[in-house]
Amino acid sequence: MSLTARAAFPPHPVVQALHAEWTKFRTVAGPAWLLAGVVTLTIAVAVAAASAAQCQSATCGIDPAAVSFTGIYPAQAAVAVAGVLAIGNEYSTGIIKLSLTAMPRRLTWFFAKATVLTAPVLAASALAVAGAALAGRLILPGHGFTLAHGYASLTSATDLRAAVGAVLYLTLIALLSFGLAAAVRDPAAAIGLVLGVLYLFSPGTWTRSARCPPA
Amino acid sequence: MTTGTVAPLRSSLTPERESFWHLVHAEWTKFRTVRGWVIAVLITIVAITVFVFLASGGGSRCTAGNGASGACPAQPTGPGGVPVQDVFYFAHQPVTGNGTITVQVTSLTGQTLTGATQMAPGGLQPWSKAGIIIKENTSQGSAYAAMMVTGSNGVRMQWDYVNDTPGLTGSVSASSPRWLRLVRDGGTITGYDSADGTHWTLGGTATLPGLTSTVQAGLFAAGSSDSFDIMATGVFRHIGLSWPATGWTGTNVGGYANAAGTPLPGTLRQSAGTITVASFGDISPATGSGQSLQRALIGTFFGLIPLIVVAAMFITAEYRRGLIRVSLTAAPRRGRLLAAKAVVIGAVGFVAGLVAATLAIAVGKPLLLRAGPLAWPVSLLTEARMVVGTGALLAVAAVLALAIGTIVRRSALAVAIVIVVIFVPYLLAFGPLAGHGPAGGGGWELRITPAAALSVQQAVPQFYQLIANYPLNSGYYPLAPWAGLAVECAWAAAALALAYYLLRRRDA
Repeated sequence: MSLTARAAFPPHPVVQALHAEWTKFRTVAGPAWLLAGVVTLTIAVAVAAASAAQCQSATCGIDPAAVSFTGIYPAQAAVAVAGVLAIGNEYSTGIIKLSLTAMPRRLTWFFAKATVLTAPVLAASALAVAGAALAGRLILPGHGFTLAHGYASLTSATDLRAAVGAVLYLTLIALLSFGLAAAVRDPAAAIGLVLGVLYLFSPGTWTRSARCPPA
Repeated sequence: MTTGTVAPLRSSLTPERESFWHLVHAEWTKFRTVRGWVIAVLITIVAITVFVFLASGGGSRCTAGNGASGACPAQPTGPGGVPVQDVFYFAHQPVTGNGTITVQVTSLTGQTLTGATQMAPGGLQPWSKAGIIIKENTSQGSAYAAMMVTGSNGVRMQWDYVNDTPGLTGSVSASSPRWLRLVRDGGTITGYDSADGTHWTLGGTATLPGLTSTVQAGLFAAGSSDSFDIMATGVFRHIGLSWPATGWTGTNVGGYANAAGTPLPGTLRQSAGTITVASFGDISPATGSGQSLQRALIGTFFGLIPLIVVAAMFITAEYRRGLIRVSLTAAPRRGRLLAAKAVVIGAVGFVAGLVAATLAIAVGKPLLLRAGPLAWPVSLLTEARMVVGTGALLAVAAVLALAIGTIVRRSALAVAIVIVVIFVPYLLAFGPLAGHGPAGGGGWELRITPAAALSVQQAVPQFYQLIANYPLNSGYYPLAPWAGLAVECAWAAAALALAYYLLRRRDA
């Protein structure tokens, strides 16, 4: 296509914005490494947790999905960093001024950026969760998670729901981080906030039981 | 045009302005003049102090082994207010003033309760015990000192529930009996043991403050504390009392009943020259009932986050603004610049932790006590360790964040890495795998990661002579307090070493 033809039929501004943001996203090494980290962490921790889990009886009370998806705990931090950096880097390098000069419609630019972040994170999360579920599926039956102990199948509707939920969870964490970073405009403060919300309000941080003497 | 020797470039700074402390002062000036950083450290202090109010909730609720939750039952307490188990059979006679009791133990055997009252032989526990004891009176929790043979820990001297010293090793039998002796001299009781009754070795010296003149001296047996279904039987010969003998009285101290409530008393049998005492129960510290004082420091998690952000930015902001080039021009010895930054941010973290923990314990302790009893009385020394330890925990976390920041040079990544290595192991220890591993929860996650440092805040003691479940969610950590902090220090030192190497090697 010649230059004149391009000028005559310019793509829709939204498409232009998406294309520009996608070029930014794919030409820096950071996001690719972070998303690779998400996949690696989720699967590696799943393998470790599944290998450590043991179900000796029908009343062992362990949720196999929770074991398989243990890796979400550390992996969500990598997703959060990816979300924060997607917009935080614009502020910390000052390129935001250039971006907004080139694309004065700020909302278009903002949502294009969010979309360009969402798609790869969704793909990486799906890959990570599928790998973790597969690891659990292969390892857990050998550790007592069998029909005899009440684990009919590891591909039940409940487990499927857990897997889909985990993918959506990771994707939404990326968007939450993205939004918070846009609000505070400082990557370090934003990541502190996001991880504070994620880890400080996890079940387990607050549950401390007072202890009873043995009966 | 003349050529001459060119004088090599020398720093124009006077030696004292080149000193390390000058560099520290420069870094401190950088720190204190950034308003956001100072505010973040103040938030650290406020967060640790404010969140004690979260801690007092649920203070008086107990979770029993069967998952039922209710008010904490009262527990007998010993000298110093420590919770104790004091259930055993006591063959005693009153004695007044100074004197000696000596005995030969020829056998210690175990029996296990199999039904409501049926017994089967076997089941002796490592800390099943029988021996001689001098005890203030027969009520639970009174002061005592005892020499005893144990199931598999040899001869021990124990006093006032928490103290234990080892004596002769090996188990007792008719062919290798053990001689035990207790000597009372005022408020001091000294224990001796012997394999032959003539050569005595010192077992230990107990000081029982305020011991009454008339006390109860005699023989005892106690089965086990971790399983109250074990009965221990001790066989005694050659009993020698330097006090006038008045005959043995048998008392079930505490009293023990089976699950249905039927009392299962201990027994005393006397025959020619031999006394046999059998009993369930134990004389030992208890794990305590109630909340750990560590809950007052739960805000540490909130306080860590702003501190980690500031500590990482202390170096990453220099990279972001290009200020690092100015800094390194002014201080060309890069290791010294890193060390000065570590000193400043470490000191800031330490002071913040110290102030915050002091406030948190001052506010939190009365709050916790109002909600219910503390699991264990906390001495001033332990409180000091918790406060100084929290300061050290924050200081080392800040240095770790600085080192990681130097390594990765990106603030968001550095902050995320440090938060993950401290928080995720802690959450995983409580997470889906908690309580199901062989260690019973809180295993390796809190041994090898920087999160191990949280053990420095442990307020409830663990006793090797009390075999019990020490769960993480009641405040027991797998490592000893300072050992846990040492693990965090090792991580920070390793990160600093890598940061130093990279800082020297890379372009700024």
